[in-house]
Amino acid sequence: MMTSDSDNFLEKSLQQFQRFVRQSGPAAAAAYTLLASVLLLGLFGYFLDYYFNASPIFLLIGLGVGLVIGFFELAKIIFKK
Amino acid sequence: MIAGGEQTHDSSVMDQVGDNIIHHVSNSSLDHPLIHLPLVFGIDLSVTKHVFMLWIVAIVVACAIIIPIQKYLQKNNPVPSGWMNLLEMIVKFIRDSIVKPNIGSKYTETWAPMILTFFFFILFANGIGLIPIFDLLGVLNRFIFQVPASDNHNIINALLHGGVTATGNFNVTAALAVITFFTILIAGTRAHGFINHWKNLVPPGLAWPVYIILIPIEIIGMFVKPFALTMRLAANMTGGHIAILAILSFMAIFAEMFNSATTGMGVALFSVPLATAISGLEIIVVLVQAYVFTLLSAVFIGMAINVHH
Repeated sequence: MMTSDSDNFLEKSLQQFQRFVRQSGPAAAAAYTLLASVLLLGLFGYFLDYYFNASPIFLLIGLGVGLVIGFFELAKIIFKK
Repeated sequence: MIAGGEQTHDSSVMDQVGDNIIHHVSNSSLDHPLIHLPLVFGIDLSVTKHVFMLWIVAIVVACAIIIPIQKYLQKNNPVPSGWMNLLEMIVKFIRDSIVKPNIGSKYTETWAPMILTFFFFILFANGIGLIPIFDLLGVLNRFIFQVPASDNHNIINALLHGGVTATGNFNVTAALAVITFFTILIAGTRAHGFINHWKNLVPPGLAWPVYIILIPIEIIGMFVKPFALTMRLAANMTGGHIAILAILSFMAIFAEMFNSATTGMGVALFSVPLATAISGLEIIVVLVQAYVFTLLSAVFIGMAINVHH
């Protein structure tokens, strides 16, 4: 009886864990995409500033565009039907 | 920090500690390659520590995963037991909890092998990075076999340069992310056809000025996804190791600051248990990072296949 209860508990815990995993995928993707787009475009802007000696114009543009793209990707994942 | 012995003794611990930490997590430099190879089109193809670690990971994955599964499949009436039971559980979990919900039932069997390959390769690469094999060999080399640190022809001395976690190298994670990038393109093309895959990037029926903004955003978004994979895995794998080394360095820093070995030993009472605790946490990080990379890859591939606007 004890074994059956513990097996049941383990099975339920694993099923719950699987459910969390299924739900966490899009959320993780949205969070990392938002962060990565700001970072990637920011870096791109930084190097353009370095190349054209125009600091901080391209860095700010890069960060702004990165934010727009990040939030666009976030919205795409959140409002997915 | 066995390899750190080469440094000059006239600089303070504070001056050396940053370089020492970076030396222990980054790839070995091309000045200390394990195998010298000639330049090909101006690229130095010499084998560095992380390349060597990738070879070890490939051998371990082959021995622990590929060969047992092949042997199991060759049996007439296969019944999993022991190691195969665990493998089956992991494979089923990834297929049913990661691949199927994100990619869809139709393409689960197509992309599950690639996602599983990612998972096992990253898991073993992360895991091997936690085992201080070469540091142990270095201790034996230095104190038992009395080989000096200046002996550049000694293979164990050469192995002490650089970190052991190949997935802490941005080039390795970038290579893995490039595979995901092309998989996204191939998966979308297979599901919808070449033209439709590119058409699916933007929703249909919008006013043309919207497309002028939307198309560049979507194209940059295509590159952001593999960039997220690259930065996340490498940064997470490097971060934990840096934290452990920094905490252990407190012993030397405080000993020098107060000019007392006793202070260093006192700080060890705090820094060694803390570093041990973070090492324990790193075991979880090893699993979580392999899992998150596969999960994100599955989500990105699924977004190319299941298009919703």
